[in-house]
Amino acid sequence: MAVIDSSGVVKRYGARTVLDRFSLQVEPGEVCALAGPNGSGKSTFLRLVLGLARPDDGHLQVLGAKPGVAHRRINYLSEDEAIYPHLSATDNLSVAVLARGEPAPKREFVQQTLDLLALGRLGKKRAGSFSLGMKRRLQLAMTSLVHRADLYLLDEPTNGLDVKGLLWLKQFLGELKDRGASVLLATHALDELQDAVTHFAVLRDGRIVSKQPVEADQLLPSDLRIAVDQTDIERLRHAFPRATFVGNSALVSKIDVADVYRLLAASQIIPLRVDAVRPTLSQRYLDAFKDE
Amino acid sequence: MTLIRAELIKLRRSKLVWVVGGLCALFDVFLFAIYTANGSSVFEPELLPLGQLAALFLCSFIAIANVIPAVLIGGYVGAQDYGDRVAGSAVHWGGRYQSLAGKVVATVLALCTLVVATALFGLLLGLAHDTNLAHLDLLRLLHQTGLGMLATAMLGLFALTVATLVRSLALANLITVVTLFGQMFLPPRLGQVTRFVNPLACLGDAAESAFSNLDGLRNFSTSFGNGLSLGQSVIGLVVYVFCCLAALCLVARFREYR
Repeated sequence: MAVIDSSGVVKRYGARTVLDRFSLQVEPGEVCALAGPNGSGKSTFLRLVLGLARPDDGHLQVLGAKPGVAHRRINYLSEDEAIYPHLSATDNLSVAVLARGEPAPKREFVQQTLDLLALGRLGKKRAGSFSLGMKRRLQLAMTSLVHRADLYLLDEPTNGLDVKGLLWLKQFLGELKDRGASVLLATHALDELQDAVTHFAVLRDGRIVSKQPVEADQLLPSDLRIAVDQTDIERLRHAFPRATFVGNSALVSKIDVADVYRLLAASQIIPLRVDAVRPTLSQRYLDAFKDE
Repeated sequence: MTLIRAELIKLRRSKLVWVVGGLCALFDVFLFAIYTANGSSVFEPELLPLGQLAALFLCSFIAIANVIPAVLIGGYVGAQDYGDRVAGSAVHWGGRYQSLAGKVVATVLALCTLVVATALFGLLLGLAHDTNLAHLDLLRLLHQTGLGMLATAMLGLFALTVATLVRSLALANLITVVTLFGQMFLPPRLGQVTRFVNPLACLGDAAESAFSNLDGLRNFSTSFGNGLSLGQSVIGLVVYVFCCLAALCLVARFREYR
């Protein structure tokens, strides 16, 4: 049974239709990246899943129940800076735990959680004085680390994160995947999270236009980058007239690898390197908007 | 219970709460200064038994000062999550009804604590003048404190309701204050109807009798009377609480978080 099961969901704000017959299924253990232009309705859909907003039409079930019913089995990272700025990091974590109806966390647990996100030394500091990245880390701790859930909804989780934070996030997504938890993340940072997600869905004009497994993307024919010596560059141009040339290398698309080597041999070119260029998720994303 | 604790942590760490507490203490000090000036007879034990100052503070608190903490704290609890942009997350964590219930109880607890602190402050100062505990009418003092809690909590509930409805602390404070004081400028007939927004309109006679021992203090008179019987007052209070809670329940049920 799908963790998120939506079909034909419509959501309007006044005269504006944000989601228009939106359909998306997220299966257990899936880490699905939801991509779409700004204002396309990604965050709106997450709020519908949480039960914080209601669809005007369509079918939506979350963890086998109506949205909002299983809220304790869901962790949600909002795109806003959703922390209490006048509280310390420690108090923010305590409030996040208590507000879920759970007993106050032990001091060691709070410290360990803060240490995990490199906020250990800032426990007593007012969260309002944190940098953007530190606030995001604290928010991740408040929403995702203090409570174990079956479904994680992360809205722009990479916002403000530095390289270490990003690596931690990817590792965390991997752990969730291994544990069998499902993740739906609305993001623009597709390439950064490419290795961490299992599925990739594109939202356009209020509906999902494609949802594919990322693994399958990787099995598709790749582009090849052929690097040659400067003396061979003219022959390479003759051999691959449709290729894109940058410096002494050519990028060839939609051609079988064996054909490439055959053409190179026929042109008597000894390449310096031949690399497969895997299509990135952002390239896939742009493909979905080619006609614009 | 844990939701209430979470709200109380937020309140305890808020500067606003401490400033409001300080203002109330200042108000009491001001009262104390007025009534001790020029060798006033207020603290002569045979005239004014122990606990009198506590009653004086409580009476003035209900009549004048409680608007400040009730409006500010009630408004703060109701609107703070929207200001911090945590409202959606908080509702998700606790649940729609539970998170609002936590706020209501936390507001009531905070305001009741303030009333108790006011009574204790008066009692301590009173002890400095009259150490004879036989003069302490404990039952009456408890009655007055209870009444103070009721009036302040009702006002706080009203402020919290308005703040939850408008989602903005500044706007909530403005609306609450204008509503409470604006009645004075309304035509008498309309004022009669709208005055029930202020819980004192329901508590009038009960407050009058609770503080009757203060009558005759120099430059002080208790004038809460509203002509309502106790039964009518109780009905008025129940309707008041019902309206506030109904509005909060409607918000909990239907509000969408964007």
